[in-house]
Amino acid sequence: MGLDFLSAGRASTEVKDALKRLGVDPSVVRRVATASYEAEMNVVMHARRGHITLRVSPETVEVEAADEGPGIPDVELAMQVGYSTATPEMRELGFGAGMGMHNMKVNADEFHVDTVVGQGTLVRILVRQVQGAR
Amino acid sequence: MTNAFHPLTFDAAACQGRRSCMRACPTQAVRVRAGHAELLEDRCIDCGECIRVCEQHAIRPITHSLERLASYERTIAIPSLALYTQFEARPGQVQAALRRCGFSTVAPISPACDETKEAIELLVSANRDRWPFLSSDCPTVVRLVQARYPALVDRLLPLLPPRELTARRAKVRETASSGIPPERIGAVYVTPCPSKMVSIVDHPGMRRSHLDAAVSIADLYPRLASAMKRGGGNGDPDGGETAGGLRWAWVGGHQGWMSAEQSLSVAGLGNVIRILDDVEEGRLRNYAFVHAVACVEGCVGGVLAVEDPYVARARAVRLTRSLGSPPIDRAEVTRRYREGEYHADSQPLASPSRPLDDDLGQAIVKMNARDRLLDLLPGIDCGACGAPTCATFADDVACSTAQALDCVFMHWDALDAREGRAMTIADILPVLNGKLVAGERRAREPVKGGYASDLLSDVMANARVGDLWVTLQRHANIVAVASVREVAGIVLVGGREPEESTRARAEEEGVPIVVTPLPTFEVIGRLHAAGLTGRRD
Repeated sequence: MGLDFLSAGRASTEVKDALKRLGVDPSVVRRVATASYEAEMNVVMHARRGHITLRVSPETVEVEAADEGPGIPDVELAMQVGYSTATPEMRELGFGAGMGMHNMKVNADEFHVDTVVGQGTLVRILVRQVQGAR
Repeated sequence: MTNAFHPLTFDAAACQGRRSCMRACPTQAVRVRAGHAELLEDRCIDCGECIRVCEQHAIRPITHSLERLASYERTIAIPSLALYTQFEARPGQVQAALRRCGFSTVAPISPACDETKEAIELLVSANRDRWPFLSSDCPTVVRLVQARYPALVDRLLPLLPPRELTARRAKVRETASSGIPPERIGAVYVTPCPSKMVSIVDHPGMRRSHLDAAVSIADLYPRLASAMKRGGGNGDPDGGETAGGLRWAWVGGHQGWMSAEQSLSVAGLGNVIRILDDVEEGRLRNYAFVHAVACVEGCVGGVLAVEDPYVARARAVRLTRSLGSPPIDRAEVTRRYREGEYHADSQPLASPSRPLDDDLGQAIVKMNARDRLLDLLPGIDCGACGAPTCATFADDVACSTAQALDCVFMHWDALDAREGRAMTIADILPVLNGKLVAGERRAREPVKGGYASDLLSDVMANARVGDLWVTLQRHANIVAVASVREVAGIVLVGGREPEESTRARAEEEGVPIVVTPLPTFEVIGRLHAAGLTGRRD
């Protein structure tokens, strides 16, 4: 839920715990958990409400964050390191370093943003599983 | 995590299956089966909360008994600082009482605490890229990190806990002064919890300990209390303990502790888990050191401490104010630090809990089954099934350590769902924990009643069409009898598998055979309860 800072971060911890239970490679878990945290925080900070979906296959891990919110007017600008739309209140809590979108992209093997201003945003992060003996 | 040793035992005779332990366990390591609590050894991290909450005292800690002192020529008592908070007395008096209880000498932990604090500051200022470091003096927290946060094992302080440093030094001193070799000297920790036993008893993956034994405060208390009544303690009333040392024993004692960098204190495993999640997800990097302990008020509130944790903590705060703070020779500590005197000889090994399955594809299948079941469960965490929460129960079913119908609500739902439809063999499989070993193609035909007999001619005479035949006979002739009498199927009891010829024939003739681990009496009872009777009128 938007601006629900009490629960913020819970969804990505659930994602992380589920991946650990499945025995997914720790490097993959770390990348997915980081990207999913950033996606979740964007929903909490900017949108009215959102949904995080985790899809796991033996080949890939996919996290999708879909929200109803303001959308992103200029995606390229949003991807720039240091650019932030965090309010003063949010910055006081430690947010707004302007690293969110960038953190998602660098941790993902595939990264998609679909957004409509006034409607909402969908972010999809895909990380490939590490193949090999466990 | 494969653990050889847990410092607690469950007494089935005293256990009444009340489930306090099951609910209190922070890692969901307790189940109640057949009315008694059982420990899932690979999930237990030895916090001892189960011991604390059991009103029947059916769970007992394992610590060393005082009799053990006799096996050493000299013994050194190394009291947890928590011990001093169990009495309204100066540490010197408590130490004198310890000597009267049979210890040759007492070694205070505070000097090691004060020096280690300096060593931690040296360590963190030289290793900013590894912030935050995690304390390693609480063995339960170490076990938690090994099992559930294996990626953070390298963040555990590579330094000896103060009790270990004290033990090593005290034995060297004692050998030097008495001439007795170290193997015949017992360094005995006086412990507020069973968890410390885990760090003392040799265990793969944990560091080797300099301590030889741990005696519980609760065990020692009666003798100590009466020894204290006899007065004494003529030496230093502080007994060599310091304010800085005592700060390690109560939560909040470390606050404002570190000179330049920040430290964070967290207690109680639920809270520790949340903080470790943050650390694992890359946050809290501006903290140099996280001091994490399992017990809610710190060691003064340990499971084996006798005094109420809040009273003990109040005493700890007062004692901290009244104890001295001798100056630390920082140059000396720095020199020793560089020589590695404070460093442990190894890091605890990561020992991650087993995933749902070693094959990722299978693990995904199991997790999906688990999620589907979770949707069907009532979500009230009643505990009747013997698991603490519906989510845990769903995990157990996914790993085949429980059956869906162990949940009473699922059981009733299953009965309701069949209203209007006759029972089939497929329906009774979960009821009997059974498996179908032949005749699957007829497993959905209606079962009309039941007959139990092990005499073939009796069955020939008295079983009816559509009956479920319960027997212990395994040989191939049962198939012929079943066919001729047109029974709905055969239930083999007591885990008996049919002979291969039996199975093959049953498959050929389409006679379902169910194998159940349960004995006949139980089988019939359950079938009756599920609505299947043998009535003839």
